[in-house]
Amino acid sequence: MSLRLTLHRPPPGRISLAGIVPNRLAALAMADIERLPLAWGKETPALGEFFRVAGAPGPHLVFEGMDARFCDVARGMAAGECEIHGAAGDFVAADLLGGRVVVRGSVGAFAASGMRGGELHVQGDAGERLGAALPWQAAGMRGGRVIVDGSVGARCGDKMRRGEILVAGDAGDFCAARMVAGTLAVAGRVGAHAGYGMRRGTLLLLPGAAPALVPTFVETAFAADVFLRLLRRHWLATLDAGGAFARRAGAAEWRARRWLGDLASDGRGEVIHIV
Amino acid sequence: MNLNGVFIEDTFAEAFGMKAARVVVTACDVVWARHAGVAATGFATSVIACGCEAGIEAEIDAARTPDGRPGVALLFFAVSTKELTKQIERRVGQCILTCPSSAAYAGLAEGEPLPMGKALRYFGDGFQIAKVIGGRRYWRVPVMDGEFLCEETTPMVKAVGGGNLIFVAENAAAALAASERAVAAIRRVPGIIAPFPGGVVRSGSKVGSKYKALPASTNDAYCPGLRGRPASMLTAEENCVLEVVIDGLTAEAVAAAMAAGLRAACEVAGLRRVTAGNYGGKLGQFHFKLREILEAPPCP
Repeated sequence: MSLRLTLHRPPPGRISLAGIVPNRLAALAMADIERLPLAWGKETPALGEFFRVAGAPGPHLVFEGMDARFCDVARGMAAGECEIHGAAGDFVAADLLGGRVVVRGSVGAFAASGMRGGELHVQGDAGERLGAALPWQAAGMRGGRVIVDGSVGARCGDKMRRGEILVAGDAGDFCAARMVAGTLAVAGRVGAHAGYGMRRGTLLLLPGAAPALVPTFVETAFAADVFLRLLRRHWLATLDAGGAFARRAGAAEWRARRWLGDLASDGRGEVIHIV
Repeated sequence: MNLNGVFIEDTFAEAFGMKAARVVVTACDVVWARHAGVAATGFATSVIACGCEAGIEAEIDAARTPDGRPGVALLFFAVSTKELTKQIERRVGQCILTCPSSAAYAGLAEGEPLPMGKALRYFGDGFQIAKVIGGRRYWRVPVMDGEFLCEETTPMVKAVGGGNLIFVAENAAAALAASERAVAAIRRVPGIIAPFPGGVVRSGSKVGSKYKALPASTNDAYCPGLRGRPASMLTAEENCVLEVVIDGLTAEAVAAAMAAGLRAACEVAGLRRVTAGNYGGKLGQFHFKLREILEAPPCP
């Protein structure tokens, strides 16, 4: 069963869609769904003022004609599938616990921040701080998987603690900065200061330009071939073979260089560059 | 009942509940995977004095292992969770971690998790790295040839140990030939090991001894050198007896392996009869009746 929310009136400003998730809507009647309050500053307009509601509540929720002024889309979702046609604003799939979120467009900043499980697939680009920690948080993304078919902004994976981020395009400056653990893979180019302050975790760079790392990374012998075999087989088994990242990851046999760092921090992180 | 002229006694093998785990070991080639497997399953013929019974279940093609390298599947059986935990840690730590190019993975999908990499990671002295891939946690421990990759835990399941076949033959050559054929057939059954040397044991035992310190002693009723004594079970034409012991992940696997071994052995000339070891049926919870398991269709 699928519930379709079709935008019929553009939002007057940034409006939060926090709480509009399949696992919550499944228990409500259609009329109650239309009356659900949204957060717009001090005002709480009803969902029905912006969206036409059709279909039947269930595990599948579809937003149509979306606008980047809607933020918190699928935030805190625990189960089900959320499909977004068009752009979405900040905090898409933030604090995601489970289920799958597909955005057929681009997303704003802090997508997947605080994510603990499930999967976010962005078919366009993602803004800055994808999977990153909020300024007062010790850790960013803590589980699950994020796939971005396009490029991502600065500080992708900042303080990331667990899970996977797979970027088919380029990544901005400070990619994997202050990373605590997890795996961040970029198929395109990375900006300046990649891995700055990295404590643990893996930044995997698919074939492309060699990374310009900060001097506190040291090159080691390549000693992670079994890990890479395992990781690659897992990706090829679980990713859509036609997807932008899977096409790059499965292109050829992997040979790699490896750097350890950031030695100015904990120094147990690694940057692996497939050559 | 006769099978190819070999008398099948109306008796049963008495087997016991055990705890078991499967570990998949991969390496750069099958030779090194085998080295790791042989070392890890060495000195593991009987729980009486080895701590566990273990063996190489099968070699695995590269396409079917977690990391795409050739590997072997090892099975470990012990009498308790505590003992199996200890044996897995020691054997993986001393025999697989130490083997060049090796990696160790959980080989069963479900069961109570026993620590594997979880305990061995400390060898990394703080340089070890944890990785979660597809919901499974692995440890990467730096070693002198690169990195030892080991899954954090391996599932433990309830299993069956002590299925057996006793081959009574005219001479040693016939007994050995029958045993070898039986072991070859048994090893084709999934989830099975025959833990003794070459799968065969010559020192079949009975419970107890005239010496108080010994829990088991030689099965004097089947020793041809004691034939003629009142307690002997051997006739004048029976000059050699060998036993195959079978441990399996399930009772069905043990029954299938026993049937396969029985059928294969009975094609050997000179084999006179097949019997099985039991303790009157009072100790073990699994009874594999020789004539009944033969009535089941052969394992494909």
